[in-house]
Amino acid sequence: MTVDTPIKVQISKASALKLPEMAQEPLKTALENLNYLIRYHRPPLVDDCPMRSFGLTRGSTYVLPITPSADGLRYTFETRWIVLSAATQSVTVSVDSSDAYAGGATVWSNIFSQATTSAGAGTLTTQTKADQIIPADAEVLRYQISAPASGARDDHHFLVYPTPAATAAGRMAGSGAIPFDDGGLAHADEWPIHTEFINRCKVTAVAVLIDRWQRALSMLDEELTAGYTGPASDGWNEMPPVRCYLPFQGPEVNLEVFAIAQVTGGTTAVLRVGQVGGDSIELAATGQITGDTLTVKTKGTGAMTHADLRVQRYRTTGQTTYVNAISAYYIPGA
Amino acid sequence: MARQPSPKNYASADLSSAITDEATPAAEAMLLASADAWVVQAAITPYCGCARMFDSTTKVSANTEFDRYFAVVVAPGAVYGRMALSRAAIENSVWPGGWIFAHEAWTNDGGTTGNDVINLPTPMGSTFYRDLGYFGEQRDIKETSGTNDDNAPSDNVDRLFELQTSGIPTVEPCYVSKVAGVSLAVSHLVADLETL
Repeated sequence: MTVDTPIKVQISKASALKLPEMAQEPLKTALENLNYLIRYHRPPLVDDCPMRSFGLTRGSTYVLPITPSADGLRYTFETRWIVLSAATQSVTVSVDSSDAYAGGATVWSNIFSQATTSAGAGTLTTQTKADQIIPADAEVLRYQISAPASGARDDHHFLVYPTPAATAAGRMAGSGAIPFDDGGLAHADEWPIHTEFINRCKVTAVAVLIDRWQRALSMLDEELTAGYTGPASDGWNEMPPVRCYLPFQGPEVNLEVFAIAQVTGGTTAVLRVGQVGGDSIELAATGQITGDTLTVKTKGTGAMTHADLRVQRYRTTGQTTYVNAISAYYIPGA
Repeated sequence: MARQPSPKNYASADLSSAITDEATPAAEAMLLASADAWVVQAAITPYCGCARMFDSTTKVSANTEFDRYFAVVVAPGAVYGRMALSRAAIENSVWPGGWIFAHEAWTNDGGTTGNDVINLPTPMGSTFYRDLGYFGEQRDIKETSGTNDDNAPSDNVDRLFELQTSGIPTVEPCYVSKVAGVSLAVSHLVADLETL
């Protein structure tokens, strides 16, 4: 029995699907594409640009809610920053995870810590740390970025996407995905086309899609009271809207929204995340991860189908509201 | 005969029922095509275009504060993309000392210098990250061109962003300036999946 994982998606000719022969194909190609999908379906788990992170001569810490794969997959971390005023400065990126966020009392488990020397003054540095496992029960990541020895640093972007190992034969994964080995189809006696083979194409494709949530909204600032306060006045303040593309989806899509925010006093009902001209949800600023489901009505057509999202935050008179992170995920079919 | 991409609308699809409940179904074209389609559609349907909120509109000390470098993971089969730029500004009538600004943007595949850089002037006032409700505040979401597919432009005009076309997902480094948020849609897929 061999588990073949194609290095790219295999496309059967249209004619092969309309006039199938009495042979392994085109079903074998479809089944092998499941192995491809398990390995190469790579929607970002993290896709965050820090809110305002320029000219930093100190280290900075960001925490962001996540919902990783149930399969405990490997992920690749790409971190982008610029060191401004001195060439070849070393910056260390450390990433931790936790399954129970409790603010400053959180117990963290290290995923990796890696130093990278910048490309030169004012030049973008991209650090890639490949194939790091994020535990299936992790609910938050912490990024700690060190200060350069000399000069200032601009933090630009954090990107994390799944890069699982080559598909191995075995039982159903926690996500419900089942890899394909050719033991049945390639058997000398040519097993009959089995119901399970047909259905596995859909069951596993759907399992992979649903398991790897796709990042739909990101807003990130530093942790605790270093979070975003903005040029806010008392009461509700609405930040500039952003467009989330939901290609080919609709007419309604559910987004799972999470936030970490806190207040120095007053009401904790301080965050609204919603669709421009549509529904919104309210999340509490308790210092913990809070979340809810936002239903959006998509606009546009085809690849340009989208929903415009907005965030409003409230400030009680005499108090301060800190927004540390907002993340929303799209789950196909939700 | 080309095999055209047919991305799937999962919001209106039945994800839980089986393709067939027959014990030993015949290898009919409809069954095989359905089985094949579920997997290929999952592979080539573009990923959600993340809406990123941030402030690259406010200059405190350096022009580099207008820059934002990021990257997009692009699903197989992509050819072109479009960006949605969130803009925020103070009207010039309120702050006449300001300037009419222009956004610059690129994707790595399309080129990062010279005429490959898209230049998108805006009639808005001085770029500045503001909450709604401030006097003189204005903002909108601007989509880049959906029609100009010039891969060798003679000027840095608004056009479609080139993306890597591949049979596996790719990471596309991108840049944009003077915006309060950005997202990228894969607007054009290959005409024939067999070319991947």
